Amino acid sequence: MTDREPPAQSTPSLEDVAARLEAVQAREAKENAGAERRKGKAEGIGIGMRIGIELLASVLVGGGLGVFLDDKLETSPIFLLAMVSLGFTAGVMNVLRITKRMDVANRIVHGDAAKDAKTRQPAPSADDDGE
Amino acid sequence: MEQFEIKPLFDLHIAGYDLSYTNSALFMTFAVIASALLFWSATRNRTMVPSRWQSIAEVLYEFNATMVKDNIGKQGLKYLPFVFTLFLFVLLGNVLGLMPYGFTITSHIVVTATLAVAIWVGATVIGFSRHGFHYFSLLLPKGTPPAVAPFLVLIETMSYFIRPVSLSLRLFANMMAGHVLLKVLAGFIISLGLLFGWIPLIAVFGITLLEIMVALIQAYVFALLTCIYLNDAVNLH
Repeated sequence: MTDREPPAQSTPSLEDVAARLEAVQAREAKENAGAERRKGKAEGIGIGMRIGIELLASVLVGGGLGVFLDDKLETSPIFLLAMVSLGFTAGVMNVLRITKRMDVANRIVHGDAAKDAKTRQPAPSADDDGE
Repeated sequence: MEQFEIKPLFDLHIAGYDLSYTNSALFMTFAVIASALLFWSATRNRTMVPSRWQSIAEVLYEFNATMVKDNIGKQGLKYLPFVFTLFLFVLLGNVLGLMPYGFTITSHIVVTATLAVAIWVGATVIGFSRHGFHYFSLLLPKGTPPAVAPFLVLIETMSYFIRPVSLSLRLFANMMAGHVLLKVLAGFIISLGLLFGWIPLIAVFGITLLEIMVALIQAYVFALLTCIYLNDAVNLH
């Protein structure tokens, strides 16, 4: 005599199990979506903080380099002007790159699962989507 | 301002260099000890169902591991210890500075610039050792028309040299600005007296919360950018 025989009463029916599983999965998905949104928000703040300084730093580096070269070569103010504009261009390009990267991340968060799997596999790099 | 002053705790001069142990160095030591203590207590008796300390450590670890995997890929995981250490050091440096009588090590550009330059030089060395002279192709994005190529190389070179500056400036400026703002508003509390002093008090309360968030986010951004720079060095294009 074994206890293996399925006790008819306590075994939940397949439909019951399926319904409960579905409910749990739906709840899980909802919670995950919330977490995903929160993560997106934190990343957004992070990106916002990056962009401002990126522009400032690029002009500062350009200006510093320009003044240094002018001082050495006594060509004031040619290099200063050239380097500041070059630096600003580089800064704007960096900002464009950051926002492009953010676009890719947004596409991944908001659906497009198939595309997601394709773009996500090789680690998305900062420069790949540059140009 | 008084809170940013570097005070030597005991003097130490070696071969003409001032190597005194300062309050800045003291708080760096605190940050290292705190992170070591956190992970020591978290991993002391590990359980399947984590204790509070263990789950803190696990959340931090997984956060960093995901960040490294997302940004560099699987082969980037060997840089996880470096990124994780950096994240913890910056995070604890920021947070310990918010404690009363604390000193914010990251509010000095010397500290952040040293970290940033070390990261930048390290990433460059990794890039050249992995790709050799091919690493220079980082300066010329794919599909550039030959007509604008020389100009674009100049810009890309510039933006490569901007990296350490923006990395250090961002952390330094954020921490410095937050603490100055707190100091100024706290000064208003005293000068406005009992009648109106509570208005800046509320502001200080709010900004303190904001500063805690900034401390976390800046540590995250610092580690994230390290990942991005390492990704360029590891994966190139």
